[in-house]
Amino acid sequence: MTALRRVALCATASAALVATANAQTDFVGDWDQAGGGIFGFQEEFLDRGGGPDLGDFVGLPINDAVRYKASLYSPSWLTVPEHTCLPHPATYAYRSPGGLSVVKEYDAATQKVVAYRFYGTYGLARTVWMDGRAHPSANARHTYEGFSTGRWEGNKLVVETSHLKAGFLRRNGVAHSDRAQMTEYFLRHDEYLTVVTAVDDPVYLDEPFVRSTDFRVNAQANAHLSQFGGFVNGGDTEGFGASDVFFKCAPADEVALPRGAVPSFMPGANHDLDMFAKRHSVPLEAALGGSATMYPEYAPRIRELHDGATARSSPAVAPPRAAVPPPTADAGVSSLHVGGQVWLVSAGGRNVAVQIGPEGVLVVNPGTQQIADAVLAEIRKLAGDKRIHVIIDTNDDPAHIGGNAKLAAGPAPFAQRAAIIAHENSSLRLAGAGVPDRDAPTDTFFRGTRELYFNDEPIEIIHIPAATSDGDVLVFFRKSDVVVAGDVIQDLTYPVIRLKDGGSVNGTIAALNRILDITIAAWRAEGGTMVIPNQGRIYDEGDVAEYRDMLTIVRDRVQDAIKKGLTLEQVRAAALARDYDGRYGAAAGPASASAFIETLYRSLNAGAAAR
Amino acid sequence: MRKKVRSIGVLHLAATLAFCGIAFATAAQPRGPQPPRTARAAAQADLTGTWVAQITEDWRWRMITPPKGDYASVPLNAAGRQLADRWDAAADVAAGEQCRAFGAGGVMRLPTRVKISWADDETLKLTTDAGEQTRLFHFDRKVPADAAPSWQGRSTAEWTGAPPPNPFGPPVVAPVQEASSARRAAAGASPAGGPGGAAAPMPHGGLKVVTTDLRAGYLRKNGVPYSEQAVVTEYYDRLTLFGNDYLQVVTVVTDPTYLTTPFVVSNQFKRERDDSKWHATPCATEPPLGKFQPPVFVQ
Repeated sequence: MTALRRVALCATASAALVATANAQTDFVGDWDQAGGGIFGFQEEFLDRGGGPDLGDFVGLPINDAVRYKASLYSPSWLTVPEHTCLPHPATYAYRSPGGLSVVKEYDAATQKVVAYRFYGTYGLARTVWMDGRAHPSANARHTYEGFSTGRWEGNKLVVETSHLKAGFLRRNGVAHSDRAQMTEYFLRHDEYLTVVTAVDDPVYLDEPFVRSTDFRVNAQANAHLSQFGGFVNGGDTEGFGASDVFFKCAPADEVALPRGAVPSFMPGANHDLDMFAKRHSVPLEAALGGSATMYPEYAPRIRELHDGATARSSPAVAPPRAAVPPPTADAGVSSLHVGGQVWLVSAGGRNVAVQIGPEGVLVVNPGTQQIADAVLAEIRKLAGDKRIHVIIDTNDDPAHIGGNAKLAAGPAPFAQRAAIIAHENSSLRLAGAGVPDRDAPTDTFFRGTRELYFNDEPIEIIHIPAATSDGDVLVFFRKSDVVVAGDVIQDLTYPVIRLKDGGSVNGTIAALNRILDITIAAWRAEGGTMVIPNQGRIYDEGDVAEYRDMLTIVRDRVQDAIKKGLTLEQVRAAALARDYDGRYGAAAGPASASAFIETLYRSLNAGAAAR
Repeated sequence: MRKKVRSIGVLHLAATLAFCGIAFATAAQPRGPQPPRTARAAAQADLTGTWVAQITEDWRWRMITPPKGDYASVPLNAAGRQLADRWDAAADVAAGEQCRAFGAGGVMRLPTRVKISWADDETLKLTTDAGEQTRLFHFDRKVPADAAPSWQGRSTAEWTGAPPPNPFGPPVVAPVQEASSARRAAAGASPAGGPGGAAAPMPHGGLKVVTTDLRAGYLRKNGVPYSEQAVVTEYYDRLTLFGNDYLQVVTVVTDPTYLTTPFVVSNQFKRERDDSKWHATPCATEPPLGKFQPPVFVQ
């Protein structure tokens, strides 16, 4: 063999092998549903198309908590203004109609693949980072698409997703929480792409929920994507998604729903819960799902239940997942940029908001005395030697004001203390409690709003009467577009409503709705105005709405129980918040499931007495 | 600029020459006779073990026998719909055709456990407890002597997803170390891929199986048909999801007689620790629980 022939053979073989490898694994391009077009579903036809019946939970490894939640789900929930633009979360997006388009993004300098981007279906555009970056910190905000990183496992792309917002697994109220994680495999087989999606959620699932979605190569590149909202080509002239409004969306009043109302069935009042069971002659037990209904050994039980015979076989119920302890706030010190001039400093499980600008530093809720040094050190990292001029306490909780003295003390040689602003009600209670002057507010207000202009930014301090106490304030940084919620949002737990200090459940709900009046989502119910809770991660409008929904729905159930004459013990026994206890119930103390229900009961009963 | 391009071209040529020279020099070295690698030795995925179907999708078409006429989302043509509308389970039993729903076109969609093992170095065997079916995936493409149409037809198999072979040297992928779940369990280890399991190194390829020579059967238990002309193409992959070992099977059924387009479904199977739940049952189709009620959508 001549040298030239060798080289030619070698080059040809190399080129052919590379081409073969690429053809096997690459899924960049445009994809139709497996059956063709945008509605070519060949699995889960009803679920993915017209929508599932109420009470169709078959084949889902759900636990009792989310079964309860879904059984009380009302489709009218989607008419709440904050929900009218909800996108399909990444955990469901590929089940939607529409095509899928996949592109690669390269780093211009290194020409390495940095990310895959996914467009299409009803979901948001999604990025899968391939550059080895780490997932964000626990306090970073969550999104409907989550934060995804990918790696190759042979010819399979494995994608891990965290930082998901609360979403749904089936469009009839079967939810997943914001603690859900997702692992996906993208498998290319000849002209087919299969996306295997596994969702695990310690709050609502007894075991990971796995399903797969098939796509077929779309030879008419982008034709179907453009039919679906025009985000590729600017929209079609008619039909579904005829303009980009379909994807951009703007919240609208679809029905005359009272402000703050959150539609949900009261326990026992959903008379359509057996809709699926009746339509398909499926026993209700089977229709209501659970791990057991996924496995072959459940089939004989279906027949036995249907025939009305005493069930001989016991359902092979998977052992329920051990109760997951509520996450504890990170005790370390860290900081995250929130928006504009505002930063979040987390220390000892508390959130401290810090505005840094040309005039200096403003701090909201300095935290406890114990973490004051750590907070101050973190502020110094962010702001250098800029002086703290203003401190705002969102109420009189010692966990907020304990660091006042330390942070207010100006550094030598100035020794000029910062102003400490709080509502008069908080100030009075602190004075009554004998709090030392160095920790006490220096500047109070009585009216509904106190205005400040600092660091070239208008700042509103908004008093919410009778929220978690009678002295709660929200702090709205107008330019930075950030709201500090204080105790109104705890994120990790139920809110702690101090009835003896003038707090009330209805006032706390009013505070949440006031925040929602301020926030404006940037895109499909997320982004835009950021909100800093008292603890936990950064929120946006979608998260505030979820927290408001929780409190409103549970309030409505307790109110309904009171109307029916149930005693506190009966209300406790009814476990009316059991769909939320796994997410928000603290292990003990005033934010525990039991204490929360008692607080609601007493708050609502007090209201009834006052009327 | 042209000078720079020329320089790069010269460097590229030199690198190619050097690489090919090394490769051919390696290839030219005298080696002993190399026996052809068996399919088992060249496996790109260890699919052996016992797996259980997780019926998380199409539950009412899979876990129970759907009513006659409920063939939503199956791309049947007019002839296929007519045949499905005439389905008679009793007639199937009377004709000894009760295994129609257990053929290769539909069996992987049923609530079943499957056991995969090597029948020999060139044949993977898959058995089901539902319907007690046996499928043989032939890597050597030899037509079995009894090539008459059957429920499971004739299946040819090939590994997919292997890195490009190196034509000049030894194989670039280490052969799969046989490590069935039974052996692992005997050794006290958890199943491959499980938490703490001492799983053997596994290449991350997959298996493609093409099945022809089928007897006419059902895609669903309620008589949704495929014909003897059907071709079933399947893709098998192993996945690890939240510490659990899964077998993913994509099934593509093409049938010029009854389908307008390929029928594509994908199924998940979770690895079983042992065979304690294996429950072999003969082919049987329970009657539907009720009559078909077309969905009504609120416009």
